[in-house]
Amino acid sequence: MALLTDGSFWFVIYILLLMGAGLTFYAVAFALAPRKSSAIKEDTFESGQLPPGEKRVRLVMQYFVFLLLFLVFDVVSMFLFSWGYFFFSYTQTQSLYPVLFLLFVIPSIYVTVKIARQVSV
Amino acid sequence: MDYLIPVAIAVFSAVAAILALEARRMVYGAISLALFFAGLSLFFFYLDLPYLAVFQLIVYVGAIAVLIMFTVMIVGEKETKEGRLSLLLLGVLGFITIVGSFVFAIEYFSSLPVAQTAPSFNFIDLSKAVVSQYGLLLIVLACLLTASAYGAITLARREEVQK
Amino acid sequence: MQSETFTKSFLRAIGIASAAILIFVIYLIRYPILQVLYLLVTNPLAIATTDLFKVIIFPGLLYMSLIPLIAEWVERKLVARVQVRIGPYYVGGWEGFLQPIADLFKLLFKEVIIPKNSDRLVFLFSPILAFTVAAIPTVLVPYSKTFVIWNYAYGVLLFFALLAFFPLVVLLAAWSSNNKYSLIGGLRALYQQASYEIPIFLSVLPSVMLAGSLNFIGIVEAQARIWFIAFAPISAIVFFVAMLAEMERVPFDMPEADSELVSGWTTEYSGIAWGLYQFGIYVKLLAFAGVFATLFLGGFLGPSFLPHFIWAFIKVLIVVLILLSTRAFWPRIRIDQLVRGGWKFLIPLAILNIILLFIFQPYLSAILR
Repeated sequence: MALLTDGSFWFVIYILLLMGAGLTFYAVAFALAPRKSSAIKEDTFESGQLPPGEKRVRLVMQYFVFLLLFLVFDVVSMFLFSWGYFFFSYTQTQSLYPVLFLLFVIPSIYVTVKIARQVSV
Repeated sequence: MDYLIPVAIAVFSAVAAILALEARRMVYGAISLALFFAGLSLFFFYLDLPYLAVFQLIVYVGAIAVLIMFTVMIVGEKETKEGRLSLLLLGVLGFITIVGSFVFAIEYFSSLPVAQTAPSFNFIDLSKAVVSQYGLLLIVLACLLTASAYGAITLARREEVQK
Repeated sequence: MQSETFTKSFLRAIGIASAAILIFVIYLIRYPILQVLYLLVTNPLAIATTDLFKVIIFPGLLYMSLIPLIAEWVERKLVARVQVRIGPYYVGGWEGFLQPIADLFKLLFKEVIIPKNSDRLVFLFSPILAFTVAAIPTVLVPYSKTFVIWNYAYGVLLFFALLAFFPLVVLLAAWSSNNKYSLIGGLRALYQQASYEIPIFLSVLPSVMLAGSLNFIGIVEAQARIWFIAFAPISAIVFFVAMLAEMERVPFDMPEADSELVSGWTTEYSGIAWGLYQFGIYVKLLAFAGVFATLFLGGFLGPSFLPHFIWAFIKVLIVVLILLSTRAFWPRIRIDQLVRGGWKFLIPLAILNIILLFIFQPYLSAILR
């Protein structure tokens, strides 16, 4: 029952106020600003050229590998926090596993970066 | 008033889950999937499990939902077929079941004395488990995850060679 | 013609929505408001300790919206002086210090152009989301033991969770505006933020380890004898660089590179929608500077001749100034250099600091406690 009983109540109020402020800015701007639509104004901006082809193009994904790697280390670095929180209550031999894991990380990153350079889809 | 918050979260996540399956445009589906994950993490916050809640937010909303959305945007989307009425009916039925069972569970657990409900979350137990019992497993897990990333990379490479 | 009717109905909808939010908030906080009104009559000085004051005025809305305006003026002035220009000069008399407010009013009077074939609702709501998400981390930064909106026991973890929302909002904005430049910029932003989130996690870990706390006030109080930048200088540098990349500030501003991508994922935005994005960037600056000062520079601690919140304020301003000055002094780097650099240099450096702490653990516990 921690939700909305402690400081999180004011957290929720703060978020609501921020969204309300954003909406109010919009309301003021839409009420004050002139509105005139024309074909050229609403067209996609492409440095003055007429936009050719499909707008939502399929793009290069040469860094997709890094997103996958991000997923991996996201999970594992969260586990490290549960160790780091009680760092001083462990002896050095006890906290050997997380440190070994950290040492293991570095070569795997280097190998991945090296392989990723050869991928160009 | 006590039921209001969990039932609101339940309704929110159930609606988001149904939308994730039923949305016509795939990007909307991906957005509602992210909202569903956020709803789950709100549940964990409500149950006083902050570590789990934050884990849910970081990994599922921050990485998996983003990855799915990215893939949808890269691959390009097709509009799905309209009018899958039976699926919608199934979704609504499932929704009613989920919310109903949740309300029932609250009724049931709130009638029990405090000692019989789940023990409160203890951070140091988790930490000790990660360091001692599951320490080796952590490294194995990291190996496995990195190996799967390598696998994805090699698949991408092979595809490039065939072109 | 169709867009004409759309803007009318949209105006009505957002008017109703903002009024509904305001009424709901006032209903929720009716008792605190009454309490403040009562204190106004009996004991006006005690208002500063109430929660409502914190949310509305000091670490909350007013402070959070004033500092970005000042920071924008300082940045423009600084960059102008470095480039031997004058910068803002006329508005407000002295050195044009009201220029950001004049810009705000200018943006309010401009039309928000909705491009053809775009996803209107997502397109219009993502600036509000971006602004909100950028402003939320300010909740966790303590300006003294009492001047903090939510003193959450797992504040550091919550800060990471809030970081996870930036790439989502950027992707939505980029996709919805139906433009090639926008999509390229948005994907670059995604790569950048994904690559630099891990260095942020790993460089915050030394502070958590040394303090033995995930609460920001706990981390500050553990620095009573020595600031953590003395034990974790490498992590502080890594956090600073990763922070610049997360904010898309200048050495790492490929997502909005004006000269190649015509300002990236904000290409199609105009008027107040663009203004909210820009405002969000400066609010994020303030939030990150506060987190940096809290984690490494001792937060609100300092010699006792000044009160706590002034020390915190001074430290945050110094960090903001250093962050702003990068705009004037550094060229933009390439996207592949950025992504590879994040993985190849920043993560090993952050890990190096953790391992150093592990090696010197017995000595550290003698120094700290």
